[in-house]
Amino acid sequence: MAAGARWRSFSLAGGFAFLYVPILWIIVYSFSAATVVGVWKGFSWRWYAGLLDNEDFRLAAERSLLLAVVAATLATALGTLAGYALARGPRVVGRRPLAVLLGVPLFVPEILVGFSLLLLFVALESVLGVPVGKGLVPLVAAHATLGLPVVASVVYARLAGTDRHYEEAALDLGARPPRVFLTVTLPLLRPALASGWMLAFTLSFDDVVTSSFLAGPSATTLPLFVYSSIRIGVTPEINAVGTLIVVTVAACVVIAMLRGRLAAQARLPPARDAGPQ
Amino acid sequence: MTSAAAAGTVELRGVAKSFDGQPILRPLDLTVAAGEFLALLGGSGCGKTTLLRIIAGLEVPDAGGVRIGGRDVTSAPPYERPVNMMFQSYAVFPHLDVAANIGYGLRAAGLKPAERLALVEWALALVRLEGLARRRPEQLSGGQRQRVALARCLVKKPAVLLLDEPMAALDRNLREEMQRELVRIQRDVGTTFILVTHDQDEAMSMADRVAVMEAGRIVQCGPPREVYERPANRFVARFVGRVNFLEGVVRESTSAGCRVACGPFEVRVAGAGAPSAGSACTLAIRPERVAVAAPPGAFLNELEGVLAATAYFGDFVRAEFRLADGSRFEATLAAGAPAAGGPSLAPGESVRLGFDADAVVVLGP
Repeated sequence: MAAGARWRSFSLAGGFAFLYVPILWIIVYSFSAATVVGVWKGFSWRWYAGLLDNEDFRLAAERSLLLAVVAATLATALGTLAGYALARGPRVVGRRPLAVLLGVPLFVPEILVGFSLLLLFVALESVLGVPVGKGLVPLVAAHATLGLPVVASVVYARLAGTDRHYEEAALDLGARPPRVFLTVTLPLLRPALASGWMLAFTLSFDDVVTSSFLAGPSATTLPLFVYSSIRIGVTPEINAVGTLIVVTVAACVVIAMLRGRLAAQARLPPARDAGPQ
Repeated sequence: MTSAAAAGTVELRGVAKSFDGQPILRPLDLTVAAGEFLALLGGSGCGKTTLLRIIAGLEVPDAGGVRIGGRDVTSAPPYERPVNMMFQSYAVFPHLDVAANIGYGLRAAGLKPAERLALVEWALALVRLEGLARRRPEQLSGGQRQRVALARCLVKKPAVLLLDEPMAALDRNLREEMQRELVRIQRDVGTTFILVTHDQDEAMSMADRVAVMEAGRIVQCGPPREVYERPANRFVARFVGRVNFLEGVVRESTSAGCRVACGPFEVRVAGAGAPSAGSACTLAIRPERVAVAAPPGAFLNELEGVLAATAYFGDFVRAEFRLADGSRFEATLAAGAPAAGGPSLAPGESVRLGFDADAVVVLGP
């Protein structure tokens, strides 16, 4: 028994070490005063201070934040409509295949998503005659594509678990469908919208693959900045950038999870089968 | 009758509905007068909730028509009907406080805040929830939530109020209080109420008329007393109250009544409309019309039964007998009264059971 317990704690510790030691290593050394990566020479904020003066870093970070906010918002708007249509729309034949199709971007290789979007935008460029092939606009579209299925499935799950009677009661009280959606459905969805937005933000903020196809020289995002920097040479500055990215993404994921748990605690009455009685 | 009162009439003609090829409502007709309190009574799956949802506009019937206040609303959406529905789950909006819940329908109708406030206060007083206007739904008890759901409907001053199993989630004491309260409110506002319930006591004690449903049909519709005392068939007799059945063959039938042979006994039945001599029939006798250990000759009909068991219910005792052919026969006795030996009977004793000719109902097929 005791040996078994020891073995379990050991394997648990090993698993977590495997996951977290490399990240912790980066975080720890981002505070080292040494100019060589992997050498400890006392605590220092110098790399963080140096970042503030780095114009390229500042631009990339601002661009990434703006991109993630816009893309997450777009993904939330479109994903909510998709999830709502799947959960509350008419019971058409093929609704289930549609739900599966919506999730396809989740398991299609990202490199294909990026490549196909690049081809699409280049083709659009020749049709429209406007240079939209690279830059922030295609990045927003691409990142919204990444986030949409996630938001749609979160919204769908929330609606499927919510009693239809709320919406029926609103209709019965004289509200037309658009008002019902705005004043009943959306407020009931609020926790799902918050966590869906956070997840879409995270997907956009740390995306490299799709962005590397579409960013172009004028729209370098923060992960692309890191990637191109380490090709020149690894500097401790990159450790500081990595730490900032980890903190931002972790904050989003934790908030999304907390919202999800709060929503589960304030659980609404279970959906009653709307079948005949 | 004023036109405002007539707005509360509900007429269903040939309404039918099926889900996935499964018929839930067979073509049925129903007319509810303005200001009437009608109960739709039936077991689960009989179609009573579907019928209510069709009146509310939440389901569209496959066939037939719905008229409310004389206007054809068969294909009108719920938000264009002068009807409001109280859901079994109450469906009180969890993100709005009590006042906003009650004012929801008024807001949808475009009323100004001042008008809304006055009406919400009127509705809060009507359901006796004054002072709780700012509470959130999760801070309310089940009974209070139900009152919010009721007020939210009544504040719209609907011509017809639909109630889907409103008492199902309440405990027994609260249920009886709310039943009285609902009857009071119905008298006060004069709205047509249509209540769906599986609880026969609830239907009988509250409604002006009871419609008993079975397998998508209305099998009998009438005042509670009529449904109880003259049930149309075996299903109604058994669903509404307790009943004894005797199978027999009609010996003689006259305009004043008939004589029916039930095994070794002969039962006299009062009243016209009996089936002709020679036909088989079922007789129904309510347990409370049966006298236990009746003196000989006191009643027109007499059976011999052996006491099998008694059950004590506080205000009455239910005694179960076996007849000569082995069938069950029940009688109820007032527990307090020193009724003809009732409580002192011992199981296994043979007793004379008496009942009058007018206590017997000949049931249809």
